Amino acid sequence: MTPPMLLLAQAHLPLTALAIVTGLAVAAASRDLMKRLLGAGAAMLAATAHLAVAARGDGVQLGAIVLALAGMALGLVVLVRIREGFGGVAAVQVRAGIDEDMAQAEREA
Amino acid sequence: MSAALDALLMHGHAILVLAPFATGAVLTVVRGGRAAMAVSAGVALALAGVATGLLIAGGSDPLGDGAAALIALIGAATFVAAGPVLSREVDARTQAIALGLAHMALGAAFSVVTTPDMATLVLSLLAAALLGSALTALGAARARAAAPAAFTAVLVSLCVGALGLFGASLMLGAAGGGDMAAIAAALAPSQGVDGLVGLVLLAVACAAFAGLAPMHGWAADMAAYTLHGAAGLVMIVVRLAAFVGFIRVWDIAVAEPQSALAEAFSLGGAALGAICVVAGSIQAIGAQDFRRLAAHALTAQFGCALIGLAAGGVDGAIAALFVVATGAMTALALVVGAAAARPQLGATAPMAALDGLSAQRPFIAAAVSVAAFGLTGAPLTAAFLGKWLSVEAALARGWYWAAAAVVAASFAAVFVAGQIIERMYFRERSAQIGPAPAGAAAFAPALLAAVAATLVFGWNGAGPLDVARLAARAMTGAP
Repeated sequence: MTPPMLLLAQAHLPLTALAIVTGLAVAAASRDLMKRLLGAGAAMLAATAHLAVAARGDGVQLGAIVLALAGMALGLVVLVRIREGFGGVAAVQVRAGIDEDMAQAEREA
Repeated sequence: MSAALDALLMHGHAILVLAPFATGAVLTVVRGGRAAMAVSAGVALALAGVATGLLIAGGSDPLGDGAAALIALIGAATFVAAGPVLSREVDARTQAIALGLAHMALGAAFSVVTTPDMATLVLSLLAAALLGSALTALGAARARAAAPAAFTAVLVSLCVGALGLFGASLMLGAAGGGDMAAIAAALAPSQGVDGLVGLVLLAVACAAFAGLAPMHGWAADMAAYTLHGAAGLVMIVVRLAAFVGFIRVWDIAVAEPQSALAEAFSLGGAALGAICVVAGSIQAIGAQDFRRLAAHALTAQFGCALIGLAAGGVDGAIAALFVVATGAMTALALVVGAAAARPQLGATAPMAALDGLSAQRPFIAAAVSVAAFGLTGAPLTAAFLGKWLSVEAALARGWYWAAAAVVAASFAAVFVAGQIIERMYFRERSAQIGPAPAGAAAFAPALLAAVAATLVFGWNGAGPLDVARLAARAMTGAP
């Protein structure tokens, strides 16, 4: 193994951990639902990449990639629905809309 | 005949996983209607037969076979009840898609509980959670709040899935293979840092997928907004499968009972169980939605099970498995009761929908009452035995606080049950909610199964206790 490849192999684990932590932090802290989805998707793809290395030659790699992409696609579809229903994808705006719906349901009950 | 049966049992696990996926794939491309409903219910009933056969045949994995039989029973009851509900909730095309997604979620849940491979377990859990999210998203046509609930579920699935996959890949690297028995054997003598971190990440991932407190908010949101026809699968089956996954990871962590890792997992598990019990019980009392109440009650039941599991030994494991099974059956009765009581035009099931149910649907109200008593762990209900075993296991370990948490959960459940019964028997249904919807007969199998499990196993729990004992012995390695 050449020195750059060796360095890459050694750096793979910490880089994956960093990518996952960063993705999760963005998903948790962002006020924009689109950015949350991108953060979660990035974390998932980083984990998938590491699994692909660990389970070399195993069918689970394909399953992981398909599920990561399917999850992100589902998130995008739902996000479009949220934009239609609430007029935007800001977390605060969506929360206010849900509160409004709940208050109305309580009044009706 | 015998050869065919043998072949069926030999390939039973593969059938349980592949048949729902194949059915789901077909259903998502056809138009809905009575034929689709009938095929869907028929396949689910056949799967219940296969899963029960595997359990009776007594394979090498009693935990997986027992969980598969329970999941198959809940799945069959849900699909039978789904017919009249889905036809009123969504149009024919969406019905077929919902049934297809639900079948795939069922297949993924079977895969979680029966697979011996760690990476497959995480991927199956992720698939089940994403399919559950998609089912919740279908509810957005009736309530716009279903879309944010589904979105949160997708986010949680991706984030938790990332942790789980990373954990699985670390353990794969540390143990040199994905087989759980091999991982337990490879990691037991000396816990390397990679394997240890992987184990913790996997446990966190399974706990979050199971909706254990404090990671349970998304599960309650999904339960409240998903389609009534698929609620049993989304809020019980997926969580139940994840809890079994958690038990698998747990089993690896405590492979060496006296090790520091096993001690840390035991204490951490008991603390997590106590948090589940407290959070689930309090939130169930304050719930404004009946399905949200059921989801929180299930969280509290999982907490009781976790305390039994953490207490260790065969008795603790028996308690955990028994509590989980009874909790799932109680939740089934509550979810089906919510579908039977739902407002004519509403996508959710507010608590007010229970008002006066006894006058309109006396048998359904009686079944929900039995489930409500089951929540409390009242004597002559199956939950009593489960909670008793949990308390005994906690006391044997000297964890008085954990035993107190289980007892406190029962007291909190008395308030919840009182609230349910008061609404059903002493209030009148408001005109805005409207009369209870038609199609009550379809709910009978699910409610009968739940009531029978609660009362019969409360009177004599020998059958499920034997299964739990076999599974507990396989887990703990006890003779």
